[in-house]
Amino acid sequence: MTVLETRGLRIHIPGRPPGAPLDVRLEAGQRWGLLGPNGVGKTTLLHTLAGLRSPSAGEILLDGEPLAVTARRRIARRVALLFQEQHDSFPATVMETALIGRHPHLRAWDLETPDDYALAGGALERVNMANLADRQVATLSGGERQRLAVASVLTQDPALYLLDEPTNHLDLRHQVQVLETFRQEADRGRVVCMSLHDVNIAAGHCDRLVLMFPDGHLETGDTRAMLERPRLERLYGQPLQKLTAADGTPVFVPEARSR
Amino acid sequence: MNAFRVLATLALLAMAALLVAMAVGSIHVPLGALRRVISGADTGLYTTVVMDLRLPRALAAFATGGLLAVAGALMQVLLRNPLADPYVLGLSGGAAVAALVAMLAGLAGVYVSGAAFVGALFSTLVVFGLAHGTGSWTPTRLLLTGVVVAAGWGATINFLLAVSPTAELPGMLYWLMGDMAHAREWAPGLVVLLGLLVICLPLGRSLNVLSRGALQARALGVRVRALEWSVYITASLATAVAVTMAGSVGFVGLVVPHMLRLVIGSDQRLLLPASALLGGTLLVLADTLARTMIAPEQLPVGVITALLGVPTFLYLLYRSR
Repeated sequence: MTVLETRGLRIHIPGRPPGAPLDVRLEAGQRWGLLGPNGVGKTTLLHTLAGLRSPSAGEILLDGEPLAVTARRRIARRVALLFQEQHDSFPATVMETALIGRHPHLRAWDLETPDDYALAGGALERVNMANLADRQVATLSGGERQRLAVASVLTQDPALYLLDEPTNHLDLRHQVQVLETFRQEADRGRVVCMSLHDVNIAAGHCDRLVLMFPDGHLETGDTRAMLERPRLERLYGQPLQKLTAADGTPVFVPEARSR
Repeated sequence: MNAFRVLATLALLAMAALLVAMAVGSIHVPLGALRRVISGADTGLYTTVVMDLRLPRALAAFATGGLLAVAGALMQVLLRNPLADPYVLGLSGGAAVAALVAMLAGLAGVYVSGAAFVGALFSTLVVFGLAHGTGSWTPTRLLLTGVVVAAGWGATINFLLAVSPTAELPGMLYWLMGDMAHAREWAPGLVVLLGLLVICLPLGRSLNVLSRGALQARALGVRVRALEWSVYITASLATAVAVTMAGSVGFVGLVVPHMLRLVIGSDQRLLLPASALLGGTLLVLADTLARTMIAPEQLPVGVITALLGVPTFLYLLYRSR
């Protein structure tokens, strides 16, 4: 089942050459990765897919309907966006923050029900934060905040997760935990689409990749076919070494000095 | 903390404050007499003092304080800035200039209030129009526009004070500091306060989400632009009504929402009604002090709100985690 589809989608990044059109279908159960150097437009693309900005050309279909004419609340019930940075100007507890994911599912006068609390509590459990539910967000570490933001999008319970660098600030154990959580979400028929900086995470946790080259050129395809050393070196403008892990999967590491 | 218990406690406090305001003054009304007045059994001097003078003034003070506190809480979310108060966008300055000009023109009473209301709305429209500008609309841009417009009004106020005849100055200064002495019309204020709460309570959860940033709110399905404009317009109207009743009473709008946040958290669905109750209570008590402290002279209530509020707020802030 196609959740989101792009047709001839182009985004405009100031100071960059006009991008090539993107035509993809995000289908239930798939995990997509966006790779590319800094400033190439990964975040802009994710925000565009979430309907937060308009594409410069082409169109996006959510459940077959043009995203541009879909009501904001309806989009938010189907698509969740994990932001790269979290802002909190006013005090709030961890539980309150996880619960904001229920917002699109509740009407104006509704109060959160025990079910909503159960969903938020379950999401906090999945990121190892259930014991922190009453803590003030301001007292959390960077990694804990990131996990809390993950819990909020899990509480939103969408069909499509758009994740902007989901492993930001996370230690190794929690990187694995968060990525496994989204693997489970894909296994239950959700779509996951995440921008990543670590090629090796993309190798292990995405089945399809969109590579965004600095010249605006795009390449889309199966992860295994896409992850080749020359292509990645062109993508990042950085010489790489390809190693092979004990289980046979390729591992790419940057050359210490450019040759 | 249980939301119902918070609101019930604050409502009881408000009742107590209104009773104190009715009992205390140059003519002391003992509790027994007060009960007879309220039940209608007394028709003498006490009834005149309480029903015609003290109660209308206390209710007007309650409405003013409630409006300012709710408007302050709304402005703080709108601008995502804890330093915002109902006047931060220059609304009180516009009201003050219009009111002072009316006083200079020899007008009094309802004409001064009317001028203040028009001035407040005019200033709102100016900021509204200029902040929109030719580009995009951001809280920072709105805040800067408001602060600069307010500075312009401030200079105009100083100019008016400098060129005014000495005899007019005390009345003008009292108006600028906020003064309930001439407030008798309490009904419009209370009606607007209730209306404000009815409009804003169903928006409470959206406001909670908006306080986490406009993009985050949009990603959660909030129509941010529409919400921001309605918050701006309702908060401005509320402030305009408050300024019309009492001049620019400082401090309540800034500090009451913060006091409450320190104790009950930031959920707007609880914070807005709680602000209305606590803001009203604070202003009723402050006004009672204002008219009794140096009786028979009266102080402007704005002086008292700051004198009461500053230590309370600093204590809560010091005590908080």
